[in-house]
Parts: sequence; C-alpha cells; structure tokens
Amino acid sequence: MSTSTHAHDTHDHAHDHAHDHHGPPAGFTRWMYTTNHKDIGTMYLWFACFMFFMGGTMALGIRAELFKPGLQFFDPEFFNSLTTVHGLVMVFGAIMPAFVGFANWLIPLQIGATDMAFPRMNNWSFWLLIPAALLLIGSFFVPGGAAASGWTLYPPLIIQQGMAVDMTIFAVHLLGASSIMGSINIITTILNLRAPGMTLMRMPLFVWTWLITAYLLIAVMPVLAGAVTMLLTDRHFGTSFFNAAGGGDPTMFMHIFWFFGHPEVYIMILPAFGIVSQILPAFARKPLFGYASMVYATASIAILSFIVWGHHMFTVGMPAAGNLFFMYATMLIAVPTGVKIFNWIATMWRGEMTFETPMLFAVGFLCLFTIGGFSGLVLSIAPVDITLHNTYYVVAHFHYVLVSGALFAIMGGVYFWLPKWSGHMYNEGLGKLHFWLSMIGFNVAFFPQHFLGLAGMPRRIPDYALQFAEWNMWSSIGAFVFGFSQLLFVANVVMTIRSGRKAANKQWEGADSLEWTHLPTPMPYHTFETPPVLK
Amino acid sequence: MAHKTETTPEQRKRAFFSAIALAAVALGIYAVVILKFFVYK
Repeated sequence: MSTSTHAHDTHDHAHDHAHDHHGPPAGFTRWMYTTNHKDIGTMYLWFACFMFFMGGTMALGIRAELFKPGLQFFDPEFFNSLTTVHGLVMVFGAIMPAFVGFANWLIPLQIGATDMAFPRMNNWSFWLLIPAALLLIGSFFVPGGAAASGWTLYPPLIIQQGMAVDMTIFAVHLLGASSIMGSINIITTILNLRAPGMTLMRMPLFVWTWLITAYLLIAVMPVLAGAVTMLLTDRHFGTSFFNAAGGGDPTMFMHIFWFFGHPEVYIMILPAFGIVSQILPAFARKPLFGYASMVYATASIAILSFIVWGHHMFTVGMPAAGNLFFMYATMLIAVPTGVKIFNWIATMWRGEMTFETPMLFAVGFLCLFTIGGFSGLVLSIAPVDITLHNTYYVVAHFHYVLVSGALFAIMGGVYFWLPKWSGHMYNEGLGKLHFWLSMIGFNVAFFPQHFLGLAGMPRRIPDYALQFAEWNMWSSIGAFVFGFSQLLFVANVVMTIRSGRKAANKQWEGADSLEWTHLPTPMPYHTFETPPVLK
Repeated sequence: MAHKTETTPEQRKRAFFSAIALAAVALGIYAVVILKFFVYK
C-alpha cells in the first residue's frame, strides 16, 4: 500500500514554507559547505553526469577503434587502459553517484524528514568523490599509463603495472569510504527520521530499495577495500597474497573480488527498480501491483546476491559441485526478479496509461532489462558460460543490465522528478527524441554484440578477425548515435533549469509520494520542518 | 512562523547509535578480510 495523502496538507505546508525565508547562501561556499540534502543530491547528480560523459568518451574511443579490423587510433596497451577506466568510471563515478544523488534528493522528502541524519558526513561523502575522480582520470597521465587489467583489477597483471595502479587503489579506497558513509547516513535516516505514521510498509518502493542497497554496500564495500589493500601490500610491502611467484593465489583475489562484485551489480540495479516502481504507477494511474511482494523480492535478490559470485569464475577450475551450486543459486535469482517484472506488467495492465518521457524510459527499461536478465540466465548455465566466458556475449549482457537497466532508470527518474526539483517543466518533444535515439542507438550498439560473442569474439581486444567486421561496424555506429544523443539530455536539463515553463505542484496526476502531494513546486530550501500528517 | 520540529534528541541518539553499529560492522568486515589472510600467511 502506498502512502495516503490529503490535499489540504499541500496547502498547509506551502503556507508554512511561504513564511520561511531561510534560503541557501550565495556563491561557491554554498556548494562547498552545504549540508542541505537537496544541494548535495544536486552535486552528486552533476558529478555523475560529468563522469558519465568522461566514461562515455572512453567508450566512444573504444568503439572508434573497433569500427573496423586493424589498429586505427590506439596502441593495445592504451586500449586496455580505456576499457579498464571506462568500467571503473561508469560503475563508481557515474551509476553509483547518480543513485546516491537520487537518494539524497528523495529519501528525506519521501519519508517526511527535514534532512539526512548526518548532514555534515553527507557533505564529506560527496567531496571525497572529487579526489577519487582526479586520481582515476589522472592515472592516464602518469608514466606507464592507466591501469589496464580490466575493472576487476585481476592479479598478477595488476601487481606488475606502474604507479597508476596505486592511484586506482587509492581512488577505490576513497570511493568505498564515501559509499559506506553514504550508506550509514541512508540507513539511519530511514530507520530513525520517518514522519509519524510513515511505517516501513508505507514507504515508497524507492526508499525500500535504497534501504536494502545501503545494507548491501556496508556488507561488501569493506570486502573490496580489503582486497585492494592486499593488492597494495603485494605491490609494495613484500606480501604475496595473490602473487603466485611468492606462493600466493591469484584465484583467491577473484573469489574476494566477486564476493564484492556480484552484490555490486545489485547495488547498481536495485535503486533502478525503485525508480521504475515510482514511475510506472504514476503513468498507469494505478497503485503499484503487489507492493509487499516487491519489498520481499528486493530483499530476496539482495540476500541471494551473496551466494552467486562463483558464476563469474566457471572457467577457473572449481569442482563440478561448486559450479553446480553457483549455477542453481544464480538461476534462483530469476524468481524474485520475475516477481518484479510481472508486478510491473500487472501495474500497467488496464491502466490509464500515457507515455510521457519518464514512462517511455521506464517501459524501455522493462523491455531491455528483461533481455539483459535472460542473457544472464543463459550465462548462468555453467557449460554454456564456459564457451561464452570473456566473449562479447558477456559485454552485451551486462550493458543491457547496466545501460538499458540502471542508466535508463536514471534518465527516466531525472525526467520524472526534474519538474519538482527545478520548478520547471522539461521539453517533452526533446525528451522523447532523446528517448528514441537512445533506444535505437543502444540496441544497434549492443544487440549485435550477442552475435559477436556467440561467434567467439573475445572482449578487451583492440583488433579482431575479419569475420567480426560487419557487426562491429554496426555496433560502433549505434554507440555513436547513443553517445551523442545524450547531449540532448544535458541540453534539455539545462534549458529546463534556466528557462522551462513553470511546473505544477503535482505535475504527474498519478504520483502519490509525499514530495508530490505535500510540497509546493518549486520546493523551499528546507522542507518538512514540520512533519507531514499521514493518515 | 509555524512551529518547527527539528529532529528530537531521542531521534538523534538513536541515529548516533545506529551509525556507530553500522560503522562497526563495516570496519569489522574489513578487518576480517585482512586479518584472515595475514594470520593464514
């Protein structure tokens, strides 16, 4: 059941806020020292946007190189650095901070709190990202070039590279500390600062998905930090945890990394589920179907994510019983995920649907994430994975999950809440153009990669056999269409903030969470200083 | 001006202890990962 709301409350709170003249300080200090959850959310989102374009530029470099066989632009070492830093930047610099930006903006609003529980720690969590990003991007410019081991940082290669790896390790530590502090803030806020009457099972799905995601982060980020600390001691302090030459075991790193890495996938997709669970009911003009089962499915996915890491390692030589365990455990995740997919479809069923841009992205998410989920199911079959491991099929799979999954949800979420955040309505025509170009560009870029993988093209190579030429050409064309269409998104957002027409208090008639029902548009700088009354 | 209700002392206390507990969990997991291997080696 979602939160019931009352029209007179909107008026009362708008009236309260009209008397509140306390606004933000002017200039740079506003952003440097801010403890306001809206300001910090905005900074997270712009940071994520910047890093998305950094990582996207690297992706286009990769696709330009792969446009045709032979070496065009880059030497192989630099190509490997591009794939590595592209992955790290997109995962840690774009997707995760974007969702933290949404969390900062929305969680206090949706539970009726004045702010996050620890506003100063919130500020620090954000500003830690800046040195981490500088270290990651700056590592391209040190002798030896950036880390080139893939985002998984596998030894022994990572142990042998230059100082860029130390910069990367330090960046990962900083990003981990930021994530853990952010998660502590989110959990304590949700558990302690809910408005009277906002019981756990009345919270919007977005809040629920972030509560569960924050627990995941606290559980697995220290594991990654431990793994990269040991890499550091292997590199500089004479240990041999992962160095076979000294009696260590590189495979152990893979186990530890993927014990972090698979929950990390869900860290990047569960908040997307939350956003989609807000958008679909709003545009179907129906309550979310199966609210309680959505909560339990989210929790089930999170718990199962801890016992499936071995499916990333079917080819390392685990015993057959191990492979079978990880195979069946992975398949099990399809059950709660299927619950979610069917609930979303049931939410839309016989709804009074309209297809504004946020809804287009949500439906696009639903269609394409399901493709990514199914290709994941294919890869979970150990004997199949042994053939497809390290091929472009895997690249296609995780881009369907993370681009048309996580990123489409982020785009849809920005279009959905931008009117409330900025007070202005975005350009609907431009938004729809952005969606369709993204949809077409994305599928042209990544669907052929299934074929390439099935045909045996390995990933992380700058050159390839002639037989792969045609689909690679199409994939590069699609990538450039997708990449450049994102400029429309930025243009739309900037135009909306600067000069969009005024948005209504409740821009989407089907939206029912507190920020729509209890707050004016644009929102005052401080909200819910008087807790909302929920009945 | 309407009466403002900031977070109550009770809420702040509960938030503080929640944060301490969560930070301890994170540090504990990090310590277990590191120490397990140092002890093993």
